[in-house]
Amino acid sequence: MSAEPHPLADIVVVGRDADLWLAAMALGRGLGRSGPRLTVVELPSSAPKGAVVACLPQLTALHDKLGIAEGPLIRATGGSYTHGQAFVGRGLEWQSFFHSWAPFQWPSNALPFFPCWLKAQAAKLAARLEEYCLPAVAARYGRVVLATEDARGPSHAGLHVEADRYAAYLKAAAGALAIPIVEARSVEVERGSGGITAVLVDGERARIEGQLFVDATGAEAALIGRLPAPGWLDGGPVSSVDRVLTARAPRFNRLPPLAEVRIAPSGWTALHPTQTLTAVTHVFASATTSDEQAQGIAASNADVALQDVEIRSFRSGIRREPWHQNCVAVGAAASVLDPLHDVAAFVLQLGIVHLLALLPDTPGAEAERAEYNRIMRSSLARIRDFQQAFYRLAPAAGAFWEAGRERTLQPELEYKLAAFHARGLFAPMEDESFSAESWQAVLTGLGVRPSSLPPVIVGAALEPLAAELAQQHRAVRDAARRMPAHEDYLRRGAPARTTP
Amino acid sequence: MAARRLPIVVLGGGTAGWMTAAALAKHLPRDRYALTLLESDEIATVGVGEATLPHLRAFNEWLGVDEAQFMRETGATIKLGIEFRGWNRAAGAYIHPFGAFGEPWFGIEFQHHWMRLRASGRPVRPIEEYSFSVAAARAGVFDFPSQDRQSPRSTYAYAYHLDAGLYAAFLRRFAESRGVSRIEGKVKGVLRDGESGRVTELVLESGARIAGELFIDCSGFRSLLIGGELGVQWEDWSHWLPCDRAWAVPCTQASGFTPYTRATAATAGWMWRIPLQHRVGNGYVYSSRFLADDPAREALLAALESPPLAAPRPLRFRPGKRKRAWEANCVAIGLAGGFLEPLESTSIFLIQAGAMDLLSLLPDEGAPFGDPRLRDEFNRLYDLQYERIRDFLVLHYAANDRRGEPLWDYVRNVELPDSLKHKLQLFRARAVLPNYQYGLFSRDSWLAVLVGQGIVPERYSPLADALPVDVVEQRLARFALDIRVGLDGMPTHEAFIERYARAPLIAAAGAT
Repeated sequence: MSAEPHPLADIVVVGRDADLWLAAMALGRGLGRSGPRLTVVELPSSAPKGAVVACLPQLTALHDKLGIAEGPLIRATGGSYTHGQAFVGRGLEWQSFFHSWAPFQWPSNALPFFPCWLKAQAAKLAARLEEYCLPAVAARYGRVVLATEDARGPSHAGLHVEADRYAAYLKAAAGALAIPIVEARSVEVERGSGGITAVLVDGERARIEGQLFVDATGAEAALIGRLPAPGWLDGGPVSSVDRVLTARAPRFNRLPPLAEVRIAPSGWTALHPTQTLTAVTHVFASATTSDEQAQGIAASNADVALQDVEIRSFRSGIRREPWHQNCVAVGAAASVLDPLHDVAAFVLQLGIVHLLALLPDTPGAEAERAEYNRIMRSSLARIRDFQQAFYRLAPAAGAFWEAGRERTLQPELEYKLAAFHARGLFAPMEDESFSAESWQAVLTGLGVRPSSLPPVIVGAALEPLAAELAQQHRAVRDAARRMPAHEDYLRRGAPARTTP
Repeated sequence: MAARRLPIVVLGGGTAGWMTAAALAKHLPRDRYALTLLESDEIATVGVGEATLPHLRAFNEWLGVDEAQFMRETGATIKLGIEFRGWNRAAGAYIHPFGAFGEPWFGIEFQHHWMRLRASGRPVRPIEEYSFSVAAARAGVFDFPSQDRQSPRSTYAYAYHLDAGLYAAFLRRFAESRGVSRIEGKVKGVLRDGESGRVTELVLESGARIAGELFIDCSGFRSLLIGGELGVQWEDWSHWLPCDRAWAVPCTQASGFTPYTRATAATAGWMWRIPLQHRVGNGYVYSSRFLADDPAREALLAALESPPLAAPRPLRFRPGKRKRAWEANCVAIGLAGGFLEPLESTSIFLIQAGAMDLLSLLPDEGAPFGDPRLRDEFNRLYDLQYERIRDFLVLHYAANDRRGEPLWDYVRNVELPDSLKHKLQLFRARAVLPNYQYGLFSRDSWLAVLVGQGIVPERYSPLADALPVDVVEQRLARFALDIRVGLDGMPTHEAFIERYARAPLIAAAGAT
C-alpha cells in the first residue's frame, strides 16, 4: 500500500506563442482558485514574420471553453474565416477540388448520400462532390455560410489569424486570470529521478520549482526534449518535406473564405489570407530543390511579390510519450505533423483537451499519463493516416510527389484505403479527427473511384436519385448565393456576444 | 435487367436466421438476389436473448415493423435496464439503466461532481438517484421518452423483453411475405469447390441439394459451416467467463411486472428473470467446473416465484468466438459465430449488428465470391463488438465481493484482458470512464456497473474543485428533485402495456 499521496502544489507552464497562452488559459480557467498554483514562463516568439495560424472548426469549442468569442477575436486581429482548402494545380495536370469540413446536403430520410453520389457520378448524372456541400460552394463565391441571421459566426468554418496578433490577444485575455508570468529569453531544466524538479530561467536568474511541467515551447521542445524520452512513433514522415519557406504577401482584394494549396511539381504552396496580409508557405525537399530555386517557385506559384522570406528546416514526428515523467508536452513540442492540412493548432487543442480531462492532482499519476500517451498517439496516428492518404494518392507529376507515393503505409491506412477502394467505405477506427465526409472529399478529389457499391444502392433506381441530386445541387447554389460576402461580413463585424 | 439472381442461402431458422433473412429480404433488390432459408422443425432453436438492448428498436424501424404489433405478437414488455442483485453484497442491488446519470455541468462529467460533493462531506445521494431511468425502473412505470431535451424524461432509452420464439415466427412471416423461400430439411452433407474451398451446395437428408453463392451460417451452436465444414478456429474465453451451462424454465408472473431484467448472483453463476406478458423466463447460468447439473437445476427451481410451467431445459455453451465470422463464402451470424452469456442481453444485438454489416458488405455481381477486403471489414467489426462486450461482462465478475465461494474467488483473481485492466485502472485512479466511440456500452453504462460493483475511485478530477461547492450541491439536489417530479403521472408498466400492446392470449407454444 502506498502512503497518502502528496497533493500537486505547483504546475509550471513553459512556452511561447499561441501554444503557451491557450494551454495557460485552459489550465488557469479549469483550476480556478482551487488546487495547485500555476506559473507561466514565457519565451520569445519563434513564429516567422507574417505567419498565420490556421484553425480547424473544432477550435471553436476550445475558444468557447476559454470564453474567447471569435467575432471580437477576428476583429481585433484582422483575421478571417475559412470554409476549407482548395487544392489546385500549378504547372502540372491536376483536377482541382475543395476539402470542406462540412457534411453534404442531403435529405436525412433518404439512402446515404455518398454511395448515391458514386452511383450517379458513374452514370455521369452527378456534379462534382463539392457541389453538394454548401460551405464549399459559398466559399467559391467568396461568401460565408451563416446558419441564422444572428449566428455567432459562420458554420463549419475555421479561422486564419496572424500568429503574433493571436498570441497577443490570448495573452491579454489570460491577464484576467492573474497567473504569475515570468518572461525568459531561454530556459534550462533541472532534473531529478522523477523528471523535472525546476526550470532555470536565463541561466540562474530565476529557479521555478514544480511537480508538473507543461511544455508548450513549440518545435524547440525545451523541456520534454531534454528528458531521455522514448522517441518517435514508427512510420516516419508522410512526405519528403524537409524545408519550409514562409513569407508574406499583400492581402487579397476580395478576401476568399478559404485557404488555397497550389500543387507544383517540386512541392506545394499554400496561401492563407487574412484581412491584412496573405501568408505564403512553400514546402519542398532539399534533395531536389535548392533554397534559391524554392524562392523563385514560391513567388511564381503565389503570383505576387513575397516579403520577409524565411526558410527553415522541417521535421515531422509523433512523440511516443508526449507526457513523460512529470512533463506534459502540448502542441508542436509534443508532435509535429505535415503542414499540408493545417492541423498544427488542432494538435495543440487535442493535447490541451486531453490534459484537462486527465489533469492529475498528485504527482506520479501513472494511469493518467498512460492514458494521455495512448490517446495522443492514437489520435495523431489517425491524422497522419489522413495526411498520408493524400500523398499516397496525389496524381501529380514530379520527384516530390513520387517520393510521397513511395512511402510505406502503416497497416491502418492500408486497411482504410482497401475498404474505400472496395466499396467507398470509411472504415472508422478509434480516435479519428477527420470525418467520413473529409475522407470522401479528399479521396474522390484525388480521383479514387470504388470498385463496387452496397447492394441497396445498386438496387436503387437511378433516375429519382439523379433527380434528387440535381435538386440538392440547385438548392446548394441558391443558398450559397444568399449568403453574405466574406468581405461584407467582416466589415459589418461578426456579432460580439460570447457563449451564452 | 440483372442476368441472374445471386443465390443466398441462410442455414438455420431461429432468431439469427429469421432476423438475417428479414433484413436481407427488406433491403436487397429482389431482382438481383434470391434468398432461401433452410431449417428443420426437428431441430429446436435455442431462443436466445429474451432480453434485448434499445438498438432493437432501430432494427425494427429499419425493417418498417409497427412497434405495437411487434410487441403484441411477441408478448413483449418494456425493459429500462438490468438489476444486478448480490454481485457486490456490500453495495447491494444496483440497476444498469439505458440512460444517463446527472449532467456534465461546466464540461466536467457527472461522476466528478458527485464524488467531489461526497468528499466535501455535504449530503449526497447514491448515484442511481441521479438517473431518471433507474427511478422509473424502480417505480415500475413507463412512458415513451420525451423529445424535450430540457426534460429529465428525455434522458433514457428503452428495449424489450420478448419471446424469442415468437419473434422468430413474426420475422418468418415478414421474410416469407417478401420473397424468402423456406425449405424444410436437415443437412446431410456439404459440397465444396476443390480449388477455392467455397461451399457450393448443401445436401439434405431427403437428397435434395441447395446451391448458393453465399451461405449464412445461422445453425447455432452446431456451427455447421464455419466451425464444422470450414474448421475456423475457436477463440476460447472461458478462463475469463467460466460459465458454460444453463438451465432455463418459465413460470407465471408472481413477483412484479418489472420494466427491467433481473440478474441475481448465485453460488456458481447467476440467475435471470425476464418478465414477458404471458410468462416469466428464468434461468441459471453456471459453471460446470464449480457446480454439477442437478444441484444447479434444483437451485433454479427453488428460486422460482411460482411453480414451473415446463420442465427445465439444459443449455451448454462455450464462451468465445470464431477467429473469423466470414470465411470463404460463408458468414456466421448468431451462435454459430460466437457466444457470450446473456448477462448484458447482447445476443440479439450481435445478430442485428451482423445482419446490418453484412447487408452493406454483401458481394454483388461484380465480385460474387466475396471481395476479401469486404470480408476483412466484416470480421474487423465483428471482433470489435465481441471484445467490447467481453470486457464489460468480465467487469461484472472481476469486481465482486463474494469471498469464500470458489467461482467468485476464481473470477476475482483471474488475470484480466489488458484492454479491461487499463479501463479499470483509469477509473480506480481518478474516475475517468473508458474513452471509445465504436462498439457497445456508453460511458453511462460503464459508470453504472463500475460504481454498482463497488469500485470507488481514489480521486476525481481536480477541475471539479474549481466550482463553488454550494452550487454543485444545489444542482445535484435540484436534479434529484426533477427526477422525482418527472415520475409524476407516468403510467405503470402494466397500464402502459395494457393500453399500448396487450397481446391476445398466447398459446402454450410460446412457453419454452
